[in-house]
Amino acid sequence: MSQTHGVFDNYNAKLLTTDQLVDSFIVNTFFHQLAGPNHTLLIGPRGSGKTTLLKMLQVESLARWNDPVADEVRLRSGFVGVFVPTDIVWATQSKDVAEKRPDDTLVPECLSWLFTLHVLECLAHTLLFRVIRSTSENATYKRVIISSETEQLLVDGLSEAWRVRPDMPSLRSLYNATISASLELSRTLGDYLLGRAKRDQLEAFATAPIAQLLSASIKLANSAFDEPQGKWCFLFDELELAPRQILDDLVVLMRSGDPNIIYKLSLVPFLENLPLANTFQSPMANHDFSTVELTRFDGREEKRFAEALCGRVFFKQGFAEPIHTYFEEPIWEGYDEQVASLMEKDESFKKYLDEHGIDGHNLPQSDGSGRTEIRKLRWPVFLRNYFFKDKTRKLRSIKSPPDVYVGFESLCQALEFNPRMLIGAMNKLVQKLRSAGRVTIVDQIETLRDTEMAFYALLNTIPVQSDRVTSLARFVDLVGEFVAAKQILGPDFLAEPKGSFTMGRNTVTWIVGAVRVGLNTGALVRIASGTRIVGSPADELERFRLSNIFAHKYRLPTTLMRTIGIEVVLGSTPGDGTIMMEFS
Amino acid sequence: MTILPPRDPDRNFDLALFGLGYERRSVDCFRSVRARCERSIALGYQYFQAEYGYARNRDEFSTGGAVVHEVSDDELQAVILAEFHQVGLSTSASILVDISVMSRHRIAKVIWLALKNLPSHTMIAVSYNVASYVPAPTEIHPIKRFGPIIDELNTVPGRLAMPVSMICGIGYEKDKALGAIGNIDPDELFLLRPISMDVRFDQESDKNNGSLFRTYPGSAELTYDVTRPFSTYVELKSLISRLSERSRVILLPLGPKILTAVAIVLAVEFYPQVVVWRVSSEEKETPLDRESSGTVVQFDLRV
Repeated sequence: MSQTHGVFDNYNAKLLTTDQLVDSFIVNTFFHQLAGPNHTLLIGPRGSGKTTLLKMLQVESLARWNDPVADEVRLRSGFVGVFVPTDIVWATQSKDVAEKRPDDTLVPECLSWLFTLHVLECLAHTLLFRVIRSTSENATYKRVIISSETEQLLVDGLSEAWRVRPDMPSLRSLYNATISASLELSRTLGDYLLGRAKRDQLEAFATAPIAQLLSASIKLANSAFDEPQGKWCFLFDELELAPRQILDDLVVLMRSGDPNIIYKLSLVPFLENLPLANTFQSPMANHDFSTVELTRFDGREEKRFAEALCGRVFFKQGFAEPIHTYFEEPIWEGYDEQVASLMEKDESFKKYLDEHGIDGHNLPQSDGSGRTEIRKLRWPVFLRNYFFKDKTRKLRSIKSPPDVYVGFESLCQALEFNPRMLIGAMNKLVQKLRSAGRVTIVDQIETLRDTEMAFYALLNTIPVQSDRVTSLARFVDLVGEFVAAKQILGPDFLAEPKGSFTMGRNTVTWIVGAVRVGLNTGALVRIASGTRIVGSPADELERFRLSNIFAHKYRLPTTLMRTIGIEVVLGSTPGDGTIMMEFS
Repeated sequence: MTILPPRDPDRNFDLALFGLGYERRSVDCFRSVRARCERSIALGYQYFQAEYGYARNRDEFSTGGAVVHEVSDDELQAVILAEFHQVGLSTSASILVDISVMSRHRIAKVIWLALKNLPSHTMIAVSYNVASYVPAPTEIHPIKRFGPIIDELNTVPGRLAMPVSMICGIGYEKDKALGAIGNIDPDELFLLRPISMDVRFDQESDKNNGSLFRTYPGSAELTYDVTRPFSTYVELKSLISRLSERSRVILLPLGPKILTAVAIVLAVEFYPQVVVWRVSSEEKETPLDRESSGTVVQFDLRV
């Protein structure tokens, strides 16, 4: 067996050490929103940076972070952050184990205990970080000095509450004992499933409910550290993968939990039946918790963030100039020329101008309302002019997307400012820069296509339960092809094409299912209405659009288009590739 | 259990378990060894029976003296255990498992049952008939099932605080590995590329996994020789020993099925620290008729 690459590049925040994380972190508005001392739901699809943001709030990161912003964040947050990861492997194994004994309620209970022990292990890890022995150590943020006696009292109290047996009265030993308890419970559950352990052996591992345990633990820690009002924040990543009972309990705790404990819960955009606003005991958005949605960047902020994030990638490779200086930018044909050209090819456009009293050969040049109105037509004019070969309106090949999707800012927009995609793309482009001295338009288009193709390939493997389509990729095809064929490049010029979608209570199940996985993978992007909260009852209207990463694939604008019911889109689409045939 | 390089290729077998499928190579092993098998069992399927040479292969097994069981995966265990019981194997027994056309789930089930139910020192020859090149299916099927290859080798979830290391064998089907890996999003990724005797497999694998390599440029790429399963075992064992100390290890053996057999042996050996998973499109997979290349790969297990 031979190894062709010996060193792993980090492509995922989960793998970064605290120093690497802190070193590469770019502050954005989401982080400031998240850092407040209040309960928060952090919503975003994969790769949107949830893990990075949460990990930056754990106490180790805040302690090691040297940045002008760091002091401000440390002062404002004021809490001790405990990061609690989850992952799909654990969730899949749990689901599989639970399915082995569908009628045995002890099995899901055990899985909840296992998860609870995992949370306690994370807490023990944080306690270990906080406690130092003497002033000779670097006493930094949130670190405390306690005597051996105090440590012993703390460990005694915690081990009794957690029902673990440390060998020594030390936090290190408590941490190890928590790991041992977790492994022992795991082994006993395995034996129980194989008939080699009895019910009571398993029940001996029962933990108290998570709310009770965390509250008791924090009281003990605050008492030991002489910080009676000390705030702690549990940062749960990918919580949708945790046992459902734990998830529901934690959501409810945002309303009725210990006042010294803050919860920051990261979730995918679409999760059904969260206990939000169902009863008077349920937490309410903007009252009990805030929501940070990672798809709702402010325009100027996203540009600043992308420049800083991508600039960091280039800087590490020795390119220290502002990043956009390395990028070749497309040269646009003048807009007036495009309008004139389209008038020659497209009777429907000419008719539109006539009906609106616009002289296409003498467009208003001032910045007044006439010019603004005609500027609004920029995308449909550009796309129709680019793709219509001539008066026959036969379409130009899609193999070579137009330059309009690239240039530094446009490329970032096409990648939805998704940190993982941006870093991946920049890592490729910086190599091109090294060899060519410039990031050319061709390189940018190639990188955009590569990123889209890899993402599309992943969607190809995600099933959709329907007779119409088998995979999420095909669902995306139907939607994208519809918008291109009927709204952008259809027989009639549409000044305001429809290309965002709505879904309501009457939407059929398979479409709801497809939209859900689309939102959670990032193939679809939710357009938040402002008050709509993830997981609330599905009778409210959900509005969403295709990810911009598919814009070049289907010949679409990257601006937000008007809405249309998703069922209209799918009902009008043959679903057999007919629309694509019209293009070829 | 001990894994050994293949020994005494001409030995007799007290029991031989073959896969009955639609591929032409389904009967090749049976043809060459049936005279040396005391009892031959063909394990057939309840679907794909109308595809390619399934019916012809079934006839050949039957007329050649093999007992044919066309059973569902759920029924497989009872059939195999009944066969073990009927033969009444002793400690010096020798059995053959031809995995060439078995599904990955069945490979895992048969090897696991043999290791757990046969008397100590029973010798198990695991045989794999390497297929000739056929182009990869062009259709891509969504992953319908994703998880432990068999329940017996699923482990109760381990320590969540440990990272996930994934060792993924890649095949030549377009984007299949990418989809599987994307589902898991592991912390560390090792890609196992098979080196085949027919370079066209490798070329197509490179082409059809292009998106995978571009998506995970930081993964470690390792190669293994399809015809040397014992070496693959030794090298994977070394890797897993290192990884399992600091992570939860998942093996996902796509590609040539001999890797699945090796992975099962390792999972049994490292249980419960290592799990073997599979991806499946269930019966939606595109049937491909694969002919034998004439190369037979084998390794032995001693219970």
